[in-house]
Amino acid sequence: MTDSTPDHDRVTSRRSFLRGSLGAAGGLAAFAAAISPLKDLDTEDLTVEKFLQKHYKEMTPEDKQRVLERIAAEVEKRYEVRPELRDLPPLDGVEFGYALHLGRCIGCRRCVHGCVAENNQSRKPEIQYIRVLEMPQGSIDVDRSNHYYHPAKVPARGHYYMPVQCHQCANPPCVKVCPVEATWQEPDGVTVIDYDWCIGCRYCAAACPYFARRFNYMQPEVPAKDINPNMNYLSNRPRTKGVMEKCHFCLQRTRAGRMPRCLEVCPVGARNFGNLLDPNSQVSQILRKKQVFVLKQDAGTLPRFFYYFDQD
Amino acid sequence: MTREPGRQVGSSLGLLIGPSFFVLAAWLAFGPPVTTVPELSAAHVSAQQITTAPRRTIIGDPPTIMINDFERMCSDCHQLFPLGPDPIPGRRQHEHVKLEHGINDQCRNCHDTKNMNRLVLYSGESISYSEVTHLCQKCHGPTYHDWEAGIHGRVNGYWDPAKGEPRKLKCIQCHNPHRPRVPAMDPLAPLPGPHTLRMGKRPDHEPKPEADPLRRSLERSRDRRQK
Amino acid sequence: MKTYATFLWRCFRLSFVGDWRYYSWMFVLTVLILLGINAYCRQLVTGLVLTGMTDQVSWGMYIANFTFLVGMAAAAVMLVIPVYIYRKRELHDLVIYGELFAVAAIVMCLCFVMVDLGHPDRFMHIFWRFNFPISMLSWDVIVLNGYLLLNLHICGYLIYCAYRGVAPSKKFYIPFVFVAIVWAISIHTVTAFLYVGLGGRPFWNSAIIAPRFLASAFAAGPAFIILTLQVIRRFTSYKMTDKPLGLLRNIVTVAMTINVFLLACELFTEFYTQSAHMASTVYLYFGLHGHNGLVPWIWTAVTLDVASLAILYLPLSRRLTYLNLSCALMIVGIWIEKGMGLIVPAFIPSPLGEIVEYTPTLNETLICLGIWALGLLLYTVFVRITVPVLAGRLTVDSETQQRET
Repeated sequence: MTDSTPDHDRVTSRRSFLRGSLGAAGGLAAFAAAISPLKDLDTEDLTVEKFLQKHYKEMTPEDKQRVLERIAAEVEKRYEVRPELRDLPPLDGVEFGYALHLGRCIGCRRCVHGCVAENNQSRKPEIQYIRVLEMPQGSIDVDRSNHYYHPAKVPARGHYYMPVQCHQCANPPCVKVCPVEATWQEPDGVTVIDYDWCIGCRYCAAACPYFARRFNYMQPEVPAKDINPNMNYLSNRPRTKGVMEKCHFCLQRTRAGRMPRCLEVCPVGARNFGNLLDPNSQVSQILRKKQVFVLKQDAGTLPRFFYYFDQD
Repeated sequence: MTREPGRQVGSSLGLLIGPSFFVLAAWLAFGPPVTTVPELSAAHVSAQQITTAPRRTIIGDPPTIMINDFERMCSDCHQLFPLGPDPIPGRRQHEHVKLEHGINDQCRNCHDTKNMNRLVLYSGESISYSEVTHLCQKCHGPTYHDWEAGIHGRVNGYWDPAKGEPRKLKCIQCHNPHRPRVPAMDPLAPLPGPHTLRMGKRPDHEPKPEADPLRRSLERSRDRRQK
Repeated sequence: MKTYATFLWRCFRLSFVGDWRYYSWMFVLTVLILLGINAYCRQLVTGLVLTGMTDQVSWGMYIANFTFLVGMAAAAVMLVIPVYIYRKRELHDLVIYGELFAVAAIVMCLCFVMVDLGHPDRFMHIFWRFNFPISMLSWDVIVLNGYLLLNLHICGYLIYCAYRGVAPSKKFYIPFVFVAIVWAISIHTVTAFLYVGLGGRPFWNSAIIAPRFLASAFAAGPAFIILTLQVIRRFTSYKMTDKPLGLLRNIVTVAMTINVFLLACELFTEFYTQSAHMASTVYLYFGLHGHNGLVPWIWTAVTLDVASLAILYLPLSRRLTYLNLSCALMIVGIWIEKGMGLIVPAFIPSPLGEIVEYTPTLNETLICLGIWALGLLLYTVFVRITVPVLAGRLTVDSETQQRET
């Protein structure tokens, strides 16, 4: 069958050996060069301990204590600020609600930046949980809104302003779609995220009808001097790249009985916050006395964030 | 295995594969196509701009004023100089005070002409400056009720009275009593825009006026009426 | 066991044997894969900011390609149904090529999902806390991996039996084949339900999405198989008649007709009502407030769809050149309309009315090309092994033959 001579065989086998080994060596070299960018990979996040860390709901109190200490140590190492990192439980008999007086909001965006300062959000790129919409008078259609208004003075004539943040919906579509249960609703009505469990698939961002959820497309950068040391596990501790985050009604403040930061910096007092289950709270009174409405009611999300217009 | 001419060419070409991989390795290690992260800048926001302090500092009780390095009370002058029947518009003092309070265009509606260190209610009863909220209440009843409930105006501190003190503000800590309308503010900058790497030339953000639905609807109904 | 190990080893060695065309093809694919790996390593280090995705458009090319390839994988079943249900036994061998294609497509799908994750190192969290049955993504994980295992088993079993020279035992593959038929429908329906269940995205929140997915999958998939079967016929010793191509052509014609009809239904529903919910459709077809990045793409896709269907209706398409042209146009058209025409417009305008357009970056494109190259490489290797095994040249007997020479 063959017409080869023994010499020819040696030549061809030598050639095929050369070809094979050169090809394999070249392939390996090319593969090594291809994965060379990994030398810059930040391996802080890839420890065995983090790999074995359980979901928040499955952690025992000892687990939580260990995790909190570890995170506090990491924050101290990175930012040279010793944080007070707690895991505040939800309060009994409390369901948080928020009301916003659209007649009073002037669109100054103090709430936006107060939130950024309070919640240790990335400054580069800047992640803002609150998005203020400049709406033309006469329309509730968000397609007519302008997010990037920047006149010399606000409010601009013929417009009203509508800040939008996570509404902590009672029927949250984001919680439904998360494949790993990294986001869920706590008993006090706040939808939270376990930043150490999120896999970054961004399905929740696709599901949210209010553009409330933000993703860390790169490693967040917070200047050390701007760190807020009052931190909570489920709310404002520093996040890493590749995880989702969103407004959590300042759990580090509200679960200690305090007002959220956006409300406290509002110069016109357009915002109101409190316990929906307490009939005497400000928010309950607003729901009784004022004509409140919610955004995108037809989406069936049952938000806990209510808007209203009023005389004053 | 018959040796075809094509295979001879092939086996020589095959020798090129190894070196080509080395070239690729060198290129990948030293100069591959790299997508760079865009230059990102955050708006600089000072702590003063996001303060939780009240917007206005309130005047003392009784209020005083520095005239020629002496601290004077209101009554110091007003005991000496009588008030005319109609101080506005003919007044020659306190001209910096622009009274733009709606239909309330008389100083004496709020200030007690018998004792200028105090304010006056409907009944003629005078109250001190620190009880100014009762003065506002006499005309702005529903707003006062809302303020009492914590609905009107900002409430700082605690939503849970069991944990701490909710801190309400007085009316004049937000509203200038002579020009109560909240002044326009300069807005903080919006985000520079979504951080994508290839956004290209972005059209104007402003929605066009003809897209205004109210105007469109008004024009349509006007056209219908004219037909 | 030892036979199996030898079999795998021989397959591995065989994939490095071929003529200059084989080597050139595999070299090009390997280069693309290496470029893709390099780009992905950069993405691992820096983050998904290296893609064109933003908070407003949070899913892009990766999920677009994933959606298209799930459809292609499902379409392998289009060969299976005539063979086993209509008992066209002469097409029996073809089933294996269809199912191998499904395996390669599913591997590509899983790769596309992995590169899209912000934290791929945490993907095993899916096993520890599985939001089943509420989250459609959890369903998708189950059905895609199950489909992969099903097809791996069926193909592996049939090929290994041919290698050993024994007749395959029916009970080890016939039930799996029937399960695979139903399962194939499910993978694409579940993927459609990922999008359909979101009330906040009115562009997707429509019952027509799932049927359209299936129709377009059953058009593009068999079209792809028509083309690859001819490639196999040209470059290997496996010579099939034109009969299976004719059968596939009929399937493609029907599926594409349904697809174009459903497209017309969608267009009517959106444009006749003129409600605010059509903002995404207006953006896609006509542009919105000066933003019209996707308009040329969608009109190209619609033209390609209609043109390919028109060619199929003409008796002209019985000739292979025109059939191939129609298939090529169809695959490109459906790829565009499932990728850019379905995934991206749902995010534009954003739920708060903001318009942010999406363009994939170079890094993203290299990763996509790398994964496509990986899929094609896998399929080439599968075919490289299957043809000699089924032809009886690579068998357990030839193993001993080789040892004796």
